[in-house]
Amino acid sequence: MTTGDYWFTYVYKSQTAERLQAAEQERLAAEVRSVYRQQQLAARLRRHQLKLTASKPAELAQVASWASSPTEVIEWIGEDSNWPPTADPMAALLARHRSGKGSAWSAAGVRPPGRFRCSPRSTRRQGRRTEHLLVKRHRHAVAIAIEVVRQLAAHAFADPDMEMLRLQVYAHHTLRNRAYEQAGFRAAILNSRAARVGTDTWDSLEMFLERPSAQRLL
Amino acid sequence: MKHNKSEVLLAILIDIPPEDAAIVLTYEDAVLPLLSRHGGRLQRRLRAVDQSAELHLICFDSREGQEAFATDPSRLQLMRLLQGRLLRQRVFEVTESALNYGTADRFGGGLPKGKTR
Repeated sequence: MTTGDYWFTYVYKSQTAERLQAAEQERLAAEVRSVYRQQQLAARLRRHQLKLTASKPAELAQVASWASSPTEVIEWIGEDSNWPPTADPMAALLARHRSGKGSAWSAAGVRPPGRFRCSPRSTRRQGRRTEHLLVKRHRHAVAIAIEVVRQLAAHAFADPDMEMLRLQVYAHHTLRNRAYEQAGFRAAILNSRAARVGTDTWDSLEMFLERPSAQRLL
Repeated sequence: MKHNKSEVLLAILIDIPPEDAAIVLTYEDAVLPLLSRHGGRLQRRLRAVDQSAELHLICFDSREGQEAFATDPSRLQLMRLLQGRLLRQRVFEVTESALNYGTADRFGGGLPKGKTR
């Protein structure tokens, strides 16, 4: 190897390193911009638009109509995580809603609406489970989801006996899980192959939100 | 080992990474006593010889008990013991296998009625 070759190799490597560094900086900057935009949007939603109201059965039916494939039925509606379901998921959802086992809420004032449900109140100190956060595909879906979760937390932690919110999500929903994490939830337990969907198996994540973390959001 | 129809028998395989073994085992030691509050019983707790995993055989009187255990606030609070680590586990709902030849004697069972070796 001549000195010239060596120099060329060195410059080439150096340029590659610079390009990689620049790409990494650009990626980080984009991430920061994205988080900033989401936070701005979430703040806007909080101030002006999003308000949660108790759901009516007709709204649940509308929400159920968003599901267009078996996997979406399992992800959004199903009580039974396996496919094919043992019972009609929509009928089970409505029956559970009518029986008062849990409360359903819709986000009004924004399009599209979201919905979540938490388990019934109890007189003793307890944790509640959130289920089925549904936000229709939308370019602001993550921001809407963060705001819905924030309002859910505000509603739940208004009860002084409330200690913790728990939820189970599918691990491959990175976008949705990011919304939960930005709203303060932390992942604690990964259940491998928790659901069988056709020939696939899905992992589920157990996440929780404690009162101190929630208070930062309120 | 017989169980009623309403009982739920679970086999839980818990991954124990060497670097987090103390944290995971502390959490498990703390959380398992909560089972009895919800009609749950730890029937067997087995550890891999290489310490890389644990297998828990847990029986609940009912599915409601299993759900109540999952949402027990004490259990949720014990998740703090994990200190941000992700506990990896796999849960199997299991049942007695009729064909347990070969291992039946070892675990105190026997061959099915009418079967001879």
